[in-house]
Amino acid sequence: MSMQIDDVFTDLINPSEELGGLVAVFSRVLPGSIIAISKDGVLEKDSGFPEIAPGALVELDGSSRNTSGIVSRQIGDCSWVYAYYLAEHGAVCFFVIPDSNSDLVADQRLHTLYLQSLQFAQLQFSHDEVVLENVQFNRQFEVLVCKQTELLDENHRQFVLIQQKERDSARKLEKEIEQQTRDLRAANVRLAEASRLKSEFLANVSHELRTPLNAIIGFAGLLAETSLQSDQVEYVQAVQRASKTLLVLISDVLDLAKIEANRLELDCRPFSLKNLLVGVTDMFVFQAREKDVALSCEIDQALPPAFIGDDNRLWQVLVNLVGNAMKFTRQGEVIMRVSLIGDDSGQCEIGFAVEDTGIGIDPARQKMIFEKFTQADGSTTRRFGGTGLGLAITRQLVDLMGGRVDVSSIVGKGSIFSFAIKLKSCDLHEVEDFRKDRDKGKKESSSLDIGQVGSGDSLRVLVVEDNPLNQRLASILVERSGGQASVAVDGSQALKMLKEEDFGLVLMDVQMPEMDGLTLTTLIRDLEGTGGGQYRSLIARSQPLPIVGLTAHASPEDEQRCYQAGMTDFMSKPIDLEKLGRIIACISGRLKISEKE
Amino acid sequence: MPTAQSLVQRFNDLKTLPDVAIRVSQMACVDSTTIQDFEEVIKLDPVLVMRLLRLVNSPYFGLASRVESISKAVVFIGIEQLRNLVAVEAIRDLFTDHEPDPPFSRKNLWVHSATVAILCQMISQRIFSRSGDNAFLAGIMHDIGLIVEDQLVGTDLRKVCMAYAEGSEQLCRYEELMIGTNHGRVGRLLCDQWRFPEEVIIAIKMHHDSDAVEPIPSLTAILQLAEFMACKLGYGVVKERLEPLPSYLADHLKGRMTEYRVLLKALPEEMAKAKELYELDGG
Repeated sequence: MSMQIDDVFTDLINPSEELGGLVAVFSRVLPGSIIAISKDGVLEKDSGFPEIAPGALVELDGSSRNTSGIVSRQIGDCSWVYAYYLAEHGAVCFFVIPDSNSDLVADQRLHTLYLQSLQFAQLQFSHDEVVLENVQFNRQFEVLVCKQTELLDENHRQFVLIQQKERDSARKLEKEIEQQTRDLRAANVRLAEASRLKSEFLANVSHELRTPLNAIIGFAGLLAETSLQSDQVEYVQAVQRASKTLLVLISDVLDLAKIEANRLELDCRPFSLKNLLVGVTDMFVFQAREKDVALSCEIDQALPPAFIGDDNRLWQVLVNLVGNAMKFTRQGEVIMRVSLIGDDSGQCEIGFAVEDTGIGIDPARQKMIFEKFTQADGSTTRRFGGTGLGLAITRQLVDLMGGRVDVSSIVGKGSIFSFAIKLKSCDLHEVEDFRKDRDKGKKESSSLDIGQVGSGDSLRVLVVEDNPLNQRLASILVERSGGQASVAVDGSQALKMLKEEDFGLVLMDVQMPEMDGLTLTTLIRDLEGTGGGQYRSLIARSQPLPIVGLTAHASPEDEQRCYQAGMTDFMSKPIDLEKLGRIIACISGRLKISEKE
Repeated sequence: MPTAQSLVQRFNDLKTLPDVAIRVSQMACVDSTTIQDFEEVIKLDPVLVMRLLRLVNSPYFGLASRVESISKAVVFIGIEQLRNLVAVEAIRDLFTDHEPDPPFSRKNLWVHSATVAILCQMISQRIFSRSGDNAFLAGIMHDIGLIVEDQLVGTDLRKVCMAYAEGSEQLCRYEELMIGTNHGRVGRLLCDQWRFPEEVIIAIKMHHDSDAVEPIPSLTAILQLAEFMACKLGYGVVKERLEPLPSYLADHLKGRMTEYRVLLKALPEEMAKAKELYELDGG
């Protein structure tokens, strides 16, 4: 940058004014002298400087510019003008010292003294600039200090601001999470309710389906006993087979619904493993013989004889697996293997495997067969029948028991379904004790072994049933068994009839609208407790009135509820004619109840 | 003839100014802007990030350790200096001549603007003990209106410069006559969009107004002093011309002559420093 600093201000200032500052400085070191400073060797008229010929001044100006010292010139008899070149300002300082009568600079010592004084003045002048520069540095420093404070303030402000923003966003997040949690909870409640409703619906539908189905099975049974032509026998048998299959299917659907609603609980009790396995094999002996498939069961000798677990469900699982194996095996064999995998002081791990030489399953479809309503492929259903619910239930039941069903299979060679569960072992006598306890419990509430109405007379039986078809069926069955049936369609009619007539047995449908069979039974037992009042059927009895529950819900829990309500016995629909006969015969005094099982 | 408004509108339509710069500048005047907010925007412009980090890591800041993060850099330089850096980066590229086309030269204008900016900052700090950030910004942006005019009505602007070089009227007068507005008004509208501080915008609008008497020290007064000195030093817009300083400022200058003389002596050093910090060297 080429800069002529002085040029910047030339328009603004009078050169002599600018030099005025210098004059003042020189006056201080040359007291009493007359001083003028000029850049061009011309002095202003009113400067107070003594009159000097212009030529002389120019000459003096010229010679001063050529030396670093002070030059002098005599201008009168006894006065001298001195000139000193100020190189920095491009000007010459002229001065006279009144009342001196010699050339002061001619004396070397005086010359040096004056020269040094002038140089000192000049230094003082530039010293002023340095002072100003220092002032400016100080101001800059102040600005910087100020700025630093501002930066600190700003930083603190930012800190507070960010803190605030973070708090806000945390609060917002919390609110969002709260809202989502609320939504999820509400959705959960809705889902649980929906699931409950679904299960209830399935249970209801299954009941509603079973009621007419029981009638179909019952009447088909009755029909089969009439004299029929051979093709009619065949038709009736077909109806019986189909309706029994349907009954199993409905049970399966109900089971699945219960499992999915987490409402299926295992009913653990002591049981004999061998008896269970024999029972399962027995079920398929006939079928195996018919298909010419070898059916066998291999039991590990190391296995303890008895365990504590839900034998009904284990039975269901094994029947499903063996039934499945039988279904898909046309020749060869079906083997059920049971082995002891481990025994940790009574806690046994038992492996079950059902092996067949059937059609096998493609690896790609092995996972799918455990899904509901899925078989290995669509054509399987057409060839072998079935709904595909069995394996889904089997898997879920095994899951519930803490195991896992695995399958390994080779297409065309056969399949192995296997699972392992842990059960606590026990002694056989525990199984026996349990059975005795249970039977004793039944007998306490049961009084079927006495209270004869009198031999020879037919037993009067009150059928409490809301469904007309079942009323009719039950009546027929009662009469077939040697009883005399009357029908009450609901609880209040039943009570009325118990009051007016003398019955020896009540067949009580458990599920009825308005008042169900359990409530009605409790009510009857309460009446008996107060002496029977005016109820002809209840007074003057040495033993409570026998009440046999009838229900399409054939589960152990249902049976348990019946006994709890005070029922004497329990029969699942469809009514087993043989059992009904035994009960009626027993009450009529022809048979002791202990012989019934 | 176009108005200042229509010129700025057309200039905006050309999308010449980088969006990031305008956003940072607008955010700088909002109190609730956090440093993270700045970082989010700045990181969109890699060149800006590089300049920012170079600035904060230059020896003039004398930091003990190297700064690598944008937000930390913003903490050190402060929001005002960040805004200045962003402004310099945004307009730097506008001050290049595609080919010399006298008597107007964008490169000359850049040197002029940079000199004025540095002088403004120095006067603010050294004479008045005030922060020089706003003064610097006013200085670097004060002639942005001329760039707008050059881009949109370049031929007219050259006629203006020619007439100005040979005539005796003020530059703004010729602009009014030949273009229909002046670069002070155009620049002010443009700077409104950046939401610069009020005093900066007023100074840019009035920097050629010789009739105004603004208090000393106002940014307008400082800008006019700086403009005068820069022109005197040979860094004018059109080199041969110099507009007189308003008399009240001339009086001020005379009264503190020695101080300004001392100030100008330090100018080369400050120019070197600015060159280092902002790379403010002749475009």
